[in-house]
Amino acid sequence: MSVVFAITFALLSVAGLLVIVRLLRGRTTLDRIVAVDVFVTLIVASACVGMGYLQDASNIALLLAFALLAFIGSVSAARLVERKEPYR
Amino acid sequence: MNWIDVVSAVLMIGGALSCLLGAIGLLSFPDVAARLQAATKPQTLGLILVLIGAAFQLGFPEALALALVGLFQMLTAPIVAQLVGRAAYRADSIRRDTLVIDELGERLDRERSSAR
Repeated sequence: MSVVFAITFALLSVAGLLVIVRLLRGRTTLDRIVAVDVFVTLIVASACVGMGYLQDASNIALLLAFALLAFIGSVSAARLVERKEPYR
Repeated sequence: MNWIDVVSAVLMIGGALSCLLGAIGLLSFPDVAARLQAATKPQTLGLILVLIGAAFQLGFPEALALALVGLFQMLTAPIVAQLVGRAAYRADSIRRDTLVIDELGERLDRERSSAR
C-alpha cells in the first residue's frame, strides 16, 4: 500500500512542478492567479494522501481553512485585476 | 491488500492522474480561458477522487470532513472560474479568434451601440 502512496505523491509532485512552470512563465496576472489556485488544490490533495498514509486525520480542519483561504485570495485578486485594467 | 486498499489505490492514483492531466493542460493551452478549463474540471475531479480514496483509508467521521472539503471545492471552483474569466475578457487577454461563440462580446457590442 505504501507503493500506492508513493505513486500518488509522485504524480501530484510532477503536476505541482508543471503548475510552478506556468506560475513562473505567466504572461498575464490572471494566468498566475489560476496557477496558484491549482497549486493550492494540489497541496490539499497531497495533504489528504499524507493523512491517509499516516492514518492520522487530526489536521483535517487545516484543509478546509486552506481551501477557504485560496478561494478568498483568488476572488479578491481577480477583482483587483478587473478594476485595474481598462475596459477593452 | 484487502478490497478497501484496492479501491482506495485505484481512486487515489486515478485522481492524481487527473490532477496531472489538468496541470499539463494548464501548461500547454494557449490562453486564459482554455487554461481555466484545465484548471477547474480535471483538478476538481482529481481532488474529489483523491479525497474519496483517502476517506476509504481513514474511516467514517474523517470521511465526512473530507466530503466537506470536496463539496467546498465543487462550490468555489466555478465561482473562481467565472470571476477570472470575466476579468480576462475585460482585460482583453482572451484570444477571440479561437472562440466558437462569443455571446458576451455580442452583448457588449449591442449595449455599446445602443448607448451611443
